[in-house]
This record gives sequence, structure tokens and C-alpha cells, in this order.
Amino acid sequence: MHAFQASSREIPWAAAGPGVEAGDPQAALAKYADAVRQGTADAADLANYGVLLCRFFQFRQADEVFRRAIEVGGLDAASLRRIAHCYFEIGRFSDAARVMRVAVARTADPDTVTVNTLAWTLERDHQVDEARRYAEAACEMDPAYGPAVRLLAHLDRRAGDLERAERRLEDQLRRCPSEFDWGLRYELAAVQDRLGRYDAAWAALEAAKAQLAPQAARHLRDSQFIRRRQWELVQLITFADLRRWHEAGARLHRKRIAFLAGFPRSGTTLLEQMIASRPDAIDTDESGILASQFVEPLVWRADDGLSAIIELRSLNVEQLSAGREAYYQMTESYLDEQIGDRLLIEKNPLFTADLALGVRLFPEAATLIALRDPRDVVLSYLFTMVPLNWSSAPAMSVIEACRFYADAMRHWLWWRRRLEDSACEVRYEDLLADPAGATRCVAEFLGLEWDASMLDERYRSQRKAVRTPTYDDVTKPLYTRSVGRWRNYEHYLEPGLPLLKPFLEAFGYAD
Amino acid sequence: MKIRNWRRKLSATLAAVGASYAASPVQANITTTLTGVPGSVNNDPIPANHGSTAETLLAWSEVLPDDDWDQYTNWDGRGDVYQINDRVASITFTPANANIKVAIDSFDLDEWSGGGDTTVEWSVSGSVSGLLSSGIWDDKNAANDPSDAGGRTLVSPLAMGAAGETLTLEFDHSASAGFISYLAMDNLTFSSTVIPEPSAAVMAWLGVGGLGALAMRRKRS
Repeated sequence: MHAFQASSREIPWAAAGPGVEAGDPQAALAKYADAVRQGTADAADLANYGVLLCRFFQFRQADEVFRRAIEVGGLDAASLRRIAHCYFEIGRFSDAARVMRVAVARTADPDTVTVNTLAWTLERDHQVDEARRYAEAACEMDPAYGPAVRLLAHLDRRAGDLERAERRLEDQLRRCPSEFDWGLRYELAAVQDRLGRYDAAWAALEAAKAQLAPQAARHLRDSQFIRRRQWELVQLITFADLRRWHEAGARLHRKRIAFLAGFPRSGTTLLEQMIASRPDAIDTDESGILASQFVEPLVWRADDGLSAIIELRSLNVEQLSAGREAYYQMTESYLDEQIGDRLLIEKNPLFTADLALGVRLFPEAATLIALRDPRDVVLSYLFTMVPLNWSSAPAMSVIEACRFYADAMRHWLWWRRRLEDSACEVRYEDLLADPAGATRCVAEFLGLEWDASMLDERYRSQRKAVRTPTYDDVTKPLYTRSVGRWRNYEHYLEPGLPLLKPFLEAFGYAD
Repeated sequence: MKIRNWRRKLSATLAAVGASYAASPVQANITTTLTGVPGSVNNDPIPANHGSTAETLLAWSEVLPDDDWDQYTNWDGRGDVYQINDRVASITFTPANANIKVAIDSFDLDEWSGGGDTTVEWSVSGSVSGLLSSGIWDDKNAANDPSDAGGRTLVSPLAMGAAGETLTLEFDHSASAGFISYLAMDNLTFSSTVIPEPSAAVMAWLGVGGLGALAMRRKRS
């Protein structure tokens, strides 16, 4: 048996401050608040207080504290990077860039990492010209620093200069081999894919994954543990459970909420952005609140599936109300605005396998499932560079990626027979081929009025930042090159295709 | 002064976790180092539960007719040690409950001068995980210690079991050309990491690891 470790690092008890040592982090928070009130908090205290507030989802207060910390001055570049990272994590890229500008401006001799971090935050904030200038500066400071070269190549790719990006990456890999080669190779694979050099792209991708494989092993074990637990739980849910859960829902204050799930790279971000263009809808852009605040402690960390279902069954109306209120408070804090009567789109592509918790907490929720040809989904997933964790580690090989897809989407095959009218499948291909028709269906299902703003990419590029890996794609006019892309790599995908066959048939993608 | 101290500690912690939003269980780590059995004399058998703590129960192997482990005082001039008195000897470490993880951090292996061509295979295995760490101690074999002066060196398995898992530390010198009973172990260091129950405070500290669940569980109590 593998013990699941969600944390990337462990906090030494002895070094966690008296509040934490006493098992009471709220006390640590209160001590910081006292120090701020008494005027004894210095910039470092304020920065730490802000980080702690972020961990408690008090982002607005954290923002005020961070601003004060910067005003007070004296923070080193690492502390400022930490603050920028907090903003980055909640998608406030312009704030992250503002902090990093301070880090660069206030440091007499800024280091390469700091300069390049500023460049990344600018790129995510779509200030590409300035991002390029800082990335070039980072390269000049340390020509061997791979992340800066990767960023420049990424900017080349964004600008459509694929040949230049390829040359830049290949040159760097040849001249300065480093532990970050995997990052350069992921970018190179994306560039060569766009250039139609599919074999070269695949070779770059495989080399990147080979370098990451030793680090990925631990995350893959976590992934397998979580997936087993998810399936264990769902199989324990009976029709009687679902009936009781829906009956309990009738005694709760009804919420307008929809889950948007599927699998990563199925078009969830595009669909979310289209729906959120409606003024009576608001999206979460994968806040992760349901997963981290509810699913992980109640399901993944339960002793076993049986314990998890027992706890879910035992929840009474009062407890459910408390959970729902906590969820809405955290989400509003994250969004930095009131949700009001708007339809809340809780988007998380991986929530498909955790729908049990969603249905228990919000039995009135609508469920939207984004579907796309599983072969294109898996291929795109394999090409996506994201930090290693339980949900990205299966991308280390074709077979593991296909297994992951199958493990997630078998949940949907289970749920689609049970949710019936409260669920709707949306095919990515339909969204591209007939965006007006597809979005009309979605709007009708969600009880929203359809209008043409749902098709307008300008709206998508103007609204709030997108945190997910598709942040650049969703702001462009719809394009169809991503449909049937798997055929360029059919030979490489072959080992995993038998695992996808049941889903090709179930979702209507069989040849 | 006191307040600065907690701030420094918390500052170090927050810096260590960066701005990561990953859930991080707060854990108490208790380290124990065993250096002999107080009040015993040479060749007294090691009590079977010697070194047990509230968190971890130890069981020293004992296969008759010889004790696997004996106490020895002032071992070749180097103080109290645990003499390994058989070809194979082991110690098991059983967590007191399912919320405790045990780790074998390090120990010294020590050959009495004139012990001969000693090689020892050591291993740490988990009751569930299987082999976690292993190695061959040959620092005092004929090649590395040609004058057979003996002495000790540190071995660091750094093997950690899963929560609730029993670990077995085993020494096997069946294949050794050295003399049995010329080998001893000392400074056995192990750690017990207590993963707290998801109390309200701990769940809150997780930050992203349970505020929602906590809100519901509070209502139950």
C-alpha cells in the first residue's frame, strides 16, 4: 500500500512558530495581526503574514498586507518573489509583475532568476514586448540559464516565429546542457509540432520525459493511490444514496452552480470562458477549492473508500449548509467579488472522478462534461508542460497517460447513467464546428440567455487572466488544427490506444 | 525578544514552503538515539523491548541458544555498544498507532580489533513496502583494514516507512570471513513522526487542505 503524500514538502513542527507548535495556526495569525496593530511588524513580518493569509484564503487582506510590506521596504528579492508567487497562484499576473518590478528596481544587482521571474509575470500579463526585454536581459546575465531561453522561445512561438524558436532552443541544448533541458525540450516539441516536424517533436518530448522520470515516480504513485480511492468510493454509492442526497438538497438554500469537468485538454477552459462571457455567470478558472478543501480531506485522506462513504452519508443538512457556506466564502475571496445570484461555474477538468463529493455538497448542481476525441486529449496532455504533481505525472508515458484518461473517464460513464437530466455533454469538436449552435445548447441547459458575446474571442482576451496552461490559446479566434492532431502521432500512441477504445465508442469517436 | 523568536521561526517555515499552496501536514518528529543498556554488564542480553518509546515499540531478535544481541561495556575502548552475537540479528520497529511513521536514520557499526575480514549485509525493510534500504558494510574488511585494527563507521540508511508500518533492521554476516561476536552496533538513531489527527487547528493550518471539511466536521461536534 502506498501512503498518499499530497504535500511537496513537510513543515518541521519545531520550526513552525508557537501558534503552530501549539497546534493552533490561528494563534500565529493573531500574533501577526497584533504585531501589525501595535506597529511592531517589519516588512518581513508583513510578507509572512500575507503568505499566511493567502493560506487561509483571505486574499483581499493579504493584498493589503503585501502592499504595506512593499511600502515599508527592505524586502530581499526572494521575499518579493514569494509575494509575486502568491499573486501568480490566484491569477493576478499584473500584481505579480508589479511586485517583480519592485524586486528588480530596488535591488542594486538583481540576479538572473529575479529578472526572469519578472519576464514570466509580464508574459502572463500579456506584456510581451517588455517580457522579451527582461528575458533577453536574463540571458545576457547568464547565457546558460535555460528558463530564460525557454521563455524567449515561447515568446517567439507566440509571435509565430517558429523557426527562430526552434533554432534558439536547439542551440541552447547543444551549447549549455543543464538540468532544465526538459523544459527546453517541451517547448521544442511544441514548436516542432507546429512546424509539422512530428517525429522530431516526439523525440524532443520523449527526451524531456526521460529526464523528468525519476522525479515523477513519487507523484505517479500518489496518482495511482488517488485514482484507486476515487473509484473505490464511487462504486460504494448506491441509488438510495443518490436519492437521499437529492432529498437533502431540497432542504438546503438552493444555489446556482454548475460543475464543468471532463479531462485536462478537453476544451474546458474554452467552454468556461464562453459561458462566463454572460453577465449572469461567473467562473472560477480552476480555483481548486472543492478539490483541496473538501475532496482531499474527506476522500483522498480518508482511511479507505468505506470510511469516505460513511462520512459522506453521515453529513446532515446543517453540516452541508456549513460546507456550502465555507465554499462560497472561499470562492468569493478567491474571485475578489461577490457571486450574488449569478451562475457559478466550478471548473476543474479532473473533478469528473470526484463528482461524488460535488453531488453530495451541491445536489442541485448542473454538470457539464467537456468531451473531445480521447486520442487528441491524450496527445495534448502529453505535450503540456505543467509542474509535476499527481495529475501531471501520468504524462510521463503514453500508456500511463491513457490509463489516467481511462481511470478518470470511467467515472463519467458511471455518472452519466445516474445524473441524467442534470448533466450535459459538450463536444469540443462541435464547439469549433458550430460554436453558435453548441453554445446555444449549453446556455439553454444552464438556464442562461444566449448572446453573441459567447463567441467573441475579444471578450475572452479582455477579461480576467486565465491561469491554466491554455491561457494563450483561449484568447485567440477558434482554430481547428487541434482536431485530429493525434493522427500525426498515431504510431507513437499505438501502445495506449486499446485503453482508449471503450471511450472512443462510448463518446462516439470510433472510426 | 520572545516575539522576535517566534517570528523568525515562522518566517523560516514560510520561506521553506514558499508560497506553495500544496497541503502540508504538520508533523511532530521525535528522534531517539540508543547508546547501550544502562546498568547492565558485559554479555547481558539486550532486553527484548529495549529502547521502546511511547511512539515506537522495538523488538530485538533473540534466537537461542545464543542471544542475537548482547550488551557490552567499553567495547575496545569505545564505550557501551550492542554486540551482534549471531550470524543474523534484527530489530523491529513497530509504530504505536497508524498515525506514526518510523524512520531508521543511522547507526555505527564497530569491529573489535582483530575481528578479521568482516563484511556485513544490512537492510531495512517495511512490512508493507518491502526493502527500503540496504548495503554492505565492508569498511573493516581485509582490503580496507589490512592491519585489522578495527574501529567504527557511520551507516545512514535514511529509510522511512509508511504510517503504521513496521520496519525491520537486519544485520547478516553469514557470508563474512570475520569473527562472530567481534561486531557491534552503537548510536542507533531512529525517528518517529507523528501525523496528528485532523484536529481543527491542524486542519486549519493546512490552509488549502481542509477548511471546507473542517467547517462541516465542526458542526458534527
